[in-house]
Amino acid sequence: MDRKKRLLDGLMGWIAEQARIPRESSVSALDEAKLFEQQEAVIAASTRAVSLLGGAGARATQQRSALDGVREYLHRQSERLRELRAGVLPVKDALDRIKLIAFNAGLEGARLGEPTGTPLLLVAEEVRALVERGLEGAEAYAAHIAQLEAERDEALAELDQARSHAGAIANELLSAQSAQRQLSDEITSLGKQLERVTGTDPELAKSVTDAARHAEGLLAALAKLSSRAPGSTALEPLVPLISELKGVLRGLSRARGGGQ
Amino acid sequence: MSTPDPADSAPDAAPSTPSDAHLPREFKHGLVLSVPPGSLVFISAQVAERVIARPNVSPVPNSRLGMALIEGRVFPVVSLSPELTELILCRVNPHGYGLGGGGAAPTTESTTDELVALSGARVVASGKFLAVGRGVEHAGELVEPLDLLRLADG
Repeated sequence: MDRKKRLLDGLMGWIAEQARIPRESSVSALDEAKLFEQQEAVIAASTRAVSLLGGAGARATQQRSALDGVREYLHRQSERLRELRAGVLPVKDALDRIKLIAFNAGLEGARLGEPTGTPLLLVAEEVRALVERGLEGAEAYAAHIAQLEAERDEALAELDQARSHAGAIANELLSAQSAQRQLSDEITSLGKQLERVTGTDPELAKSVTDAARHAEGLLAALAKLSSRAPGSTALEPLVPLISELKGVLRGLSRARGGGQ
Repeated sequence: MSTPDPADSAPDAAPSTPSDAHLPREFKHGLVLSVPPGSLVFISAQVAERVIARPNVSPVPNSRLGMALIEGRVFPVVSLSPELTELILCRVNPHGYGLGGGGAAPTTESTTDELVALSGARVVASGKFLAVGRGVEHAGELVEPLDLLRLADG
């Protein structure tokens, strides 16, 4: 037991010592600055994604509302079709009655015999023929209404499906937006962790990156100028400053030692 | 009750009703009915009184007849099919007339005439039809006369 305890204590002590030993970092100040820059860019992109998802979710909800409106409209059309169908029945009934009257007139005309009953026979036949045409038209009208009702039922079924899909899309977009917000929060936490680990102020790192970029641009322009006018002495006073600037840039690009 | 068959009447016998007096021999007046499932029958104008639009028909128990109240009178109803149709009020003489063949019939209304309603048949046409044998021609088809008395007797 004593030996085990000594072994554990020794192991824990070694782990603690390793944690205290400063490590040589292969990351330069410029690398850290670029890391903060990237982290900011990811946060910006994530915020934009949240905004876009929110917009898409709102559109999906609007679409569902629009589909609800169409459903209402189709229900109103159902009422109209029912009324139209009911309107055909009295017409058909009246035409049937007129047809019977025509048959009875034909019978009377037949009983009266020729020539007395002939006009009645002719009128009866004419009325019967016209009534038949009217009944055919009423039947065709009723058939069209039945077809419209069938098509309306199909449209309602499709619409219900579309509403269901729109609702699902809206819910999924809201979930995606929530997940994206969570991601943004995690990235922000990551940035804070990065700040803590590197010990670098992000604003300072950004300024360093900007300054380094400007310095690199200046050096490149001066080098170009110098190559175009090799014998010129106008740049001679700048040579010490250029060297110093190069030294600073080299320092920023060099990997930092431990414990900065 | 036995009834004389109008088909037995002499083909050249003169018509005895006022309505037939001036008609050429080759025409008959009446109604053509459609009886489900799809046959046609002819009823003479001397038999068919009028067509009435669908009153209520009450079945008579233990009988294949029905009865209907029409204009305050009760008439027996003979069903040619179970389909609900208009009623055709027909005049039937128990002594053998009113067989729908357009044959010989009393010149005056007989006091023994009975009114019987037919249901289950739809009126297809009324008026004048070309006589063909005992029946008539309608839309290119031969239509046989309806034996109403046999139906009424059950």
